[in-house]
Amino acid sequence: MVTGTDPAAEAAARRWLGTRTRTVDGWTGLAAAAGLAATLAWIGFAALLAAVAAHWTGQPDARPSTPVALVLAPLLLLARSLSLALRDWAGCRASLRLRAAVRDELLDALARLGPLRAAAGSDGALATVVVEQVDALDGYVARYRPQCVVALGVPLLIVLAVLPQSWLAALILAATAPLIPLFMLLVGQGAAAANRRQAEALATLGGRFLDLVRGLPALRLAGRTEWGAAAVRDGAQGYRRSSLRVLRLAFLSSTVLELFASLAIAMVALYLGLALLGRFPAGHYGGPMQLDAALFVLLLAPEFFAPLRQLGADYHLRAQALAAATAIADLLRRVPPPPPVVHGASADRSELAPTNPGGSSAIGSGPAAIEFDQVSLRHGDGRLALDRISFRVAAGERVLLRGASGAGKSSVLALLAGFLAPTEGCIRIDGRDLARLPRSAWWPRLAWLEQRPEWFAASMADNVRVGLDDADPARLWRALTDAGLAADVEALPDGVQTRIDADGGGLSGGQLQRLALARALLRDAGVWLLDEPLAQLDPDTAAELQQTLDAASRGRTLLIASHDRTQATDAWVDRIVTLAAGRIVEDRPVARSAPESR
Amino acid sequence: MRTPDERPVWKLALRPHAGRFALAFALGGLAVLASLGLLALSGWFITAAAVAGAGAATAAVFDIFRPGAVIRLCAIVRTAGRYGERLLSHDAVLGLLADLRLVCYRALARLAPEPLARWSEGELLQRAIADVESLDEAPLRAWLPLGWMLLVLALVLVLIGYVSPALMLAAAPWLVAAAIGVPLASSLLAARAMRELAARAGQRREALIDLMRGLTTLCLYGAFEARRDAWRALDQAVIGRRLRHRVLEACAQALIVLLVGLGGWQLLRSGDRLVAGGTVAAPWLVMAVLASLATLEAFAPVAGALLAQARSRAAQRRLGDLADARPALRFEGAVPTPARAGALQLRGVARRHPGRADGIVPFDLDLPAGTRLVVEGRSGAGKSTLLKLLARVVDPDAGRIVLDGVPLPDYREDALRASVALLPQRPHLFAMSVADNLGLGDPRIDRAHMRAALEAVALGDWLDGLPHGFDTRLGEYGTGLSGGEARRVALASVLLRGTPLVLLDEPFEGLDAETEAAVVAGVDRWVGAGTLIVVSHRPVRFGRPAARLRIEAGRVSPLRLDRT
Repeated sequence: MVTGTDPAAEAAARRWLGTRTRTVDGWTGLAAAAGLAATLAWIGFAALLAAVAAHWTGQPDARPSTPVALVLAPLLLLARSLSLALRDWAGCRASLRLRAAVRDELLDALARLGPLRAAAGSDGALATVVVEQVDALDGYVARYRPQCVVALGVPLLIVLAVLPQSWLAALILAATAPLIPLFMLLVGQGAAAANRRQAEALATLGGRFLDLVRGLPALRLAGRTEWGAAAVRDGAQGYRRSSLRVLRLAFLSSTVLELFASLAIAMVALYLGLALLGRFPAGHYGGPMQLDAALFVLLLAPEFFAPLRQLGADYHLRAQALAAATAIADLLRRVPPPPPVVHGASADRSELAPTNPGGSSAIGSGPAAIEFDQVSLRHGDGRLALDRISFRVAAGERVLLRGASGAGKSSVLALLAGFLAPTEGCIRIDGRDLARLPRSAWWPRLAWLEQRPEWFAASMADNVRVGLDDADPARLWRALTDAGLAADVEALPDGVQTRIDADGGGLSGGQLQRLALARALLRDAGVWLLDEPLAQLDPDTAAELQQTLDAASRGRTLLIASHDRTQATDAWVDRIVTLAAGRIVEDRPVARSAPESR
Repeated sequence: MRTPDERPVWKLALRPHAGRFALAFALGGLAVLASLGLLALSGWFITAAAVAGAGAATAAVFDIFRPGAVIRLCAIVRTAGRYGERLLSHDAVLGLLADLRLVCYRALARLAPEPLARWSEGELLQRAIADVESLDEAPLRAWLPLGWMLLVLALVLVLIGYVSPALMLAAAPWLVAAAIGVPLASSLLAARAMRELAARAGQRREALIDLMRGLTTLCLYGAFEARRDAWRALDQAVIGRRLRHRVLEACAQALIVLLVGLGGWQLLRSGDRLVAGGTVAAPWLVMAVLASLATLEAFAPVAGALLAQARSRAAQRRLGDLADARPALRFEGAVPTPARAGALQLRGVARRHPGRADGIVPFDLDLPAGTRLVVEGRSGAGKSTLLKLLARVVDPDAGRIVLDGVPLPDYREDALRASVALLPQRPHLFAMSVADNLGLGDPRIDRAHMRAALEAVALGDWLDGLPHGFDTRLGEYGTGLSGGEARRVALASVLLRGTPLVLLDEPFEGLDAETEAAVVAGVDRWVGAGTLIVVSHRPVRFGRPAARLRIEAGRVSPLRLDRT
């Protein structure tokens, strides 16, 4: 996925990432502390090792290899290695906590979006955000953030340890340290831009490959697969050439680090040699430099640069996390704010809790009276979808919402189902504000039919029962019969146990709509919201389904959206509300004589 | 360890890049050795300087320039070697990935068209592509680090052995355990967990997609929370295993750090006696100790090397499976000449799968060349299946289809493709130029021909309005085109194939009446004496009498002829 070069989106992503990572600061701090502890253990071990080595060369004041040192050194090594393991473990915990929390946040956000999630991408793409993009935060949280602290703290600890032995060695190290970020900045800026271009090139290449593979059936049927192979080859070779140009520059930044680290170690070694020979009087304290001090400094010099080098090697993790955060923040941005009655996350969750749809609830059941009072809706991009519309639907009344596509029909239905919140105005259900109704009380009263109903790769029975796993077979058959599907199902060799695909494969469009209708009937819902349920069907099938809908929906409050003027819905609804560009242009009852005239 | 079937694809692709990998290995080895030399030599140097510094006479004659120069050389070789190795190995990996993409493409091409129709909807395709990209783990994260580790291990042991064979014996167990024992043990421990992890990660993804597909339904009908919690449990299982895996890797790394440190310490203690006895000079002992401590830089990356190798091998296996997958239908026919006329004869043709509701029950059909056939029926009745049978996208379960006197399976593939062209219900447009989309790179199709085809589908004006004419690039999935335009571009591409049998699945959907009439007439003229079969759930009228066929729930009605 190519991250947009939009700086505002990137800043928002950075902010989002900042607030989320702060929630796991405890684990990150533990990981960083363990990293520092590992360095402290190494400093101790280096001192012991240097003392033992110095004692052989006959250095007069060197401590002999006492039994204490013999026991202490392996213990220090053990402490170092345990600290390193602790650092990695704590980093992993931080990442796990964060990723679990972000996944929950994303899933709840998607649940809030309901059918409107389609605007954010296909279900496959959204699943990629929930799984892969969230996982892409891992390296940044688990390794990069603790390493930031370690890369600051370790050089400081080492300079402090070296300073009592030789101020010049400490100075050499301390002087190179700030040069490194400086050079990395200079080289890194070019490299960052180059890196971004390369990521885009890679995405283009990946997209091209995917495009060609998706088109393979067409190429094979046209006998042109070799042409596609040539395109794959040319694309990949072109990418290889261009990315090498980029890499030449990108690797320079880490090379600068290597060079400084290597040269600083070499300089320290040379200085130490000269000081030991007595040819370099300055830089240390008192008499001539001693071997234990020199060895101690030499052992610590590589350790000084190690965390910075690691940070440089892990820099891509940050870019990766930012790209992922952009995709995640983009998705979260689309979600409407939760209803005002909900306080805190726990209440939010219980609001989505399953309830017994047949059971009694505080706001009653059965057909509801609906009232739109000066309701406006503005989309995230500023467009006005609905402009102060008002209408009433009595309990048990059946209303056709008519209008061209984009007139606002779907918005009305999405508002009623609670997937959107009105920007202004109020929606009342049986006289009560919908915004104050918990979803767990409102949703069980609803039945929802879409142009393309959602299916699970499961049996027809499971697809009808969704959430009512204990519904008995007699109820299931009654629903199928009322939906006009019983005969078709009986004709199938496996009956209701016939499996269908997630894209509904195996049944015709009309049968699928009837199956969705059976799903609604099984729930005995009092309020039906239908969004273009007939649009995908051929005229004969649509006409038959109209009759079934008419028969099945008597006595329920029903809103059906349709853009088609030719369909026979007029014949059975009680009222027609016509929408155009977000306003109601006509609201008329259908003459009572209409049904008889058919 | 390696099954023979994964050898061809992966190994053949690797061969041309072996030289570059070898060179990268050499440069990287140089860098690792220079890094080791930098520390070891520095240790020798300062200890020797300290020994010499103890006496005024020796201090004066001690040569600091040669060791100093070598130390600086090591610093520079380490930097330059690392840079060269990075560039070379990445070049080699990019080249390898380019070749593997091609291998993957060809493997998928062999399976096309039918299984891909299913694939492109699922995530399988993307997974296949991700697999290709994870194959680079083996050379970059496993082979090169393992090679460097062995190089460093051997050299350090030789160096210590040169200082004193007794010391080598003291240090060797620790270093060998760190370099070889720990990675081996951790990979053995992780291997099963890893296989399980891959399976569970697949399950988690499928469960999530299933959850997402039905999100609205689940929310409204009160089943969301239960399904989400079930998914979360699956997610936790995957994450828990991955955590265990990572902790194992961290522990392996920590153990390597510990063992290398203990090895150095052991060296120091064993050397104690030797230095006291005068067998070993102190500077050499310090050099050996520092060299053994510096092996950590080469040993630490090996902790994850075998795991990376295992991950990569899983991807290799899947790529091998893909290469070995049996295509649903095979072309073993030998008739090299394409059909000329387009006369069809079907006898007892059926395609029906048990347990599924769609398909076609046995039927007969005779179509003389030049027929216009309209296939009508509801969505899902089996109309598309009929076209797929005629284009040999799928084979019938029973019966035979004969085109111009030759049964379809007897045609060689190229001859069949030159005989039948099919416009599928959801045609694919490539994110390429209009000309590429029309000709698909066929050199025999020139621009004048393309223009004529576009005019036949009433897109002549559309072409003139394009900013760069034939060279205008279409967006991904034909973005920038309306649904009707995209369909008609694909239709023109099908017409340009010039086959005597043309099969069109809902070609006129999304067109207004006037355009539809123009396109119908244009297509009719273009196909001329050839046979044209159109599937539509709306009535279609040609300029000449057409045969009509209805399919109801897989049952094909007898042919009706228009009376004109």
